[in-house]
Amino acid sequence: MFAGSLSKDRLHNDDLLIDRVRDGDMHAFRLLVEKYKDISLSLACSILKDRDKAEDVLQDAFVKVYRKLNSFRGTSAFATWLYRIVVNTAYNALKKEKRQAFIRETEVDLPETKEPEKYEDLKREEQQKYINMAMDKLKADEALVLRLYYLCDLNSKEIRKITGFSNSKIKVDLHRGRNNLYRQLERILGTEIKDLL
Amino acid sequence: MNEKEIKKIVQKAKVETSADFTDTLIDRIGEEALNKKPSFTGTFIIGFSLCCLAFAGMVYLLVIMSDIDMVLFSFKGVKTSVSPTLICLLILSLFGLNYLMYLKNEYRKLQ
Repeated sequence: MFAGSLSKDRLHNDDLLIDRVRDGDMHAFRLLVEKYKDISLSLACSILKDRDKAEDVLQDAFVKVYRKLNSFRGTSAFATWLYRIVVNTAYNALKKEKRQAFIRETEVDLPETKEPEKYEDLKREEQQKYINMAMDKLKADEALVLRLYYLCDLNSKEIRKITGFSNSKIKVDLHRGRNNLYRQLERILGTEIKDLL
Repeated sequence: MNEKEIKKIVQKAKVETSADFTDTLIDRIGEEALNKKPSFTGTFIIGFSLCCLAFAGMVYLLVIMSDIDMVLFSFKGVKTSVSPTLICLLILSLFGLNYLMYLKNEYRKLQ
């Protein structure tokens, strides 16, 4: 198998994997995809608000990554380069469909909070579901910046590289995103919100 | 909510891909590599080169058939005469340039 003499740590080193992909090793590309697919999908979902569409966009983004890997010079981290491709592909898809206006107008995904379920009984998947519902109610830019900052652990300089947003916009989106996320979670879960923490 | 709490919540908002995501992607890349279509640039360059070649041939035939020595050009009062062979050579050099561009494109792809 491909791993050969490589140690497990080195195997997961991006540069090493990229070199192997450039040599035509599809297994190395598979490892890169496995490593970044979930976070990338989360970023695409922040923009598109639709899991299936985000997954299609992510497929396109990874195909672009595979084709353009030779032009990746390594001046920035591979993750930053990849996320920029994912974000650009997602925004292009969004522009095509002009979904944003539609999302703000419709309220189909969010269940009304008549009687919030007891949070202790909710499984991890359910917690995730409710948090994602709340995230889906945020504006695309706010959800994207929140995820880049808290999920990908990136600083504002890196976020600027990926999104092209200005520093002030990133700060404003972070601030509004935090407040709106709390408001949406409160709306969905009521007092049970404390159990999330 | 403080920073730590927000972070904890957002980290739970990770969306997971479907189980066959990677397999589908790898299959797609494999299929695309097999059914690779020529790029627009490549097709354009080949098409343009062939047009140049055909046009040069046509001009050359026309010159032989009508026994023309010089072609006269007049533009805003300025008159000049050019040898038909030179015109053919110019068109052929366009073909050559285009073909070189095509080769360069292919070489870059190979790298």
